[in-house]
Amino acid sequence: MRKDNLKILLKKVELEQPSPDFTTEIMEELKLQQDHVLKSELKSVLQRNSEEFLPSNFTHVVMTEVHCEKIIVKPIISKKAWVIISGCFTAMFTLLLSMENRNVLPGGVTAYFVSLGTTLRMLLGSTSTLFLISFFSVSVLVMIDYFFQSIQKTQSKNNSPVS
Amino acid sequence: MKEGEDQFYINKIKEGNTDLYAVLVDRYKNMAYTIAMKVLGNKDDSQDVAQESFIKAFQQLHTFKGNSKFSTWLYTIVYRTAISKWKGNRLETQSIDDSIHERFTHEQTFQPYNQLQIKDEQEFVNQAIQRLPRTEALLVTLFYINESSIKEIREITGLSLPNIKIKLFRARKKLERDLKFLMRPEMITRE
Repeated sequence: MRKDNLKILLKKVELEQPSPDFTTEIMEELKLQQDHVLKSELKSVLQRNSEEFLPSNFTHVVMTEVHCEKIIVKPIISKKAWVIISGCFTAMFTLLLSMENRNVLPGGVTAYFVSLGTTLRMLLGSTSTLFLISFFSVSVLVMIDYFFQSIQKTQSKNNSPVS
Repeated sequence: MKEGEDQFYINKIKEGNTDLYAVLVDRYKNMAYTIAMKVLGNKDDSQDVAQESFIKAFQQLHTFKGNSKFSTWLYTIVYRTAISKWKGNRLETQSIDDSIHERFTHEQTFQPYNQLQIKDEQEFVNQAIQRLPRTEALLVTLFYINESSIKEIREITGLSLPNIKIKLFRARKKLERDLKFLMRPEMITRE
């Protein structure tokens, strides 16, 4: 009798209530866990089955090309050096042509360039005019070529797809 | 550990021991080829791209500072070379090897798993990946097969982090639907 009374009494006690979104949280947590497991399973399936394989001689072919790369001979005077040399000669010739007008530069500097010009004229005077003109023309052409190539390289860099 | 090994070989190659480059080629050639295949979908072009990429990587090895993994740096070269090749080709062609490249829709019903042999399983997985858009197929390859991080994928492809995550999520959902019968039976949700 006492036991039954105790049972009845205990049944009257209300259960503790969790937060209203408790069930939602549990279901979300379960979903996350299953998601994680599915992800691992998918990864396992993909890793087992989808890598592509190359023929066995691929490495040999690549290494043959790599060894060919080593043999390329670089010139002693680089392209840049040639451009600088051409630029210097072009500047010298232009300066020589403008030596007539002594009033352009300040006194001390003028005297130095005049003596330089005189020495150069003496040296170059012995060289044929045709040779000098050809050399000057080639220098100018090389400068122009370098200038246009630089512009082209800059343009192709700007036009290349952004990664 | 692999990164340390790679750097050891790279230093030796830079010192002039170029034969050691074969070690790096052997290590990364299959993934490089796989990445090219995902972009180009053609075996011959992909092999050419893989080869060209390894040559370019060798030529530019002096510029590799070790700020990222060698594999990430290499796969960036592969990806860009493949994209250039793809843009150059432009025409959509059917591969001769049509058993691999047959097109299916997502509504296609699939043979039950117990009827597939292992080789069929490989073909099936490849077909499922090939049904994905090109970029998603590549991201799946990098993330699940190569186990690259999202940041590494961003470095390789140039896509933004949110973009990568969205595409991976979409690709995963499609693949889970197509390949769920290949996964363990207890993992399949009851619908």
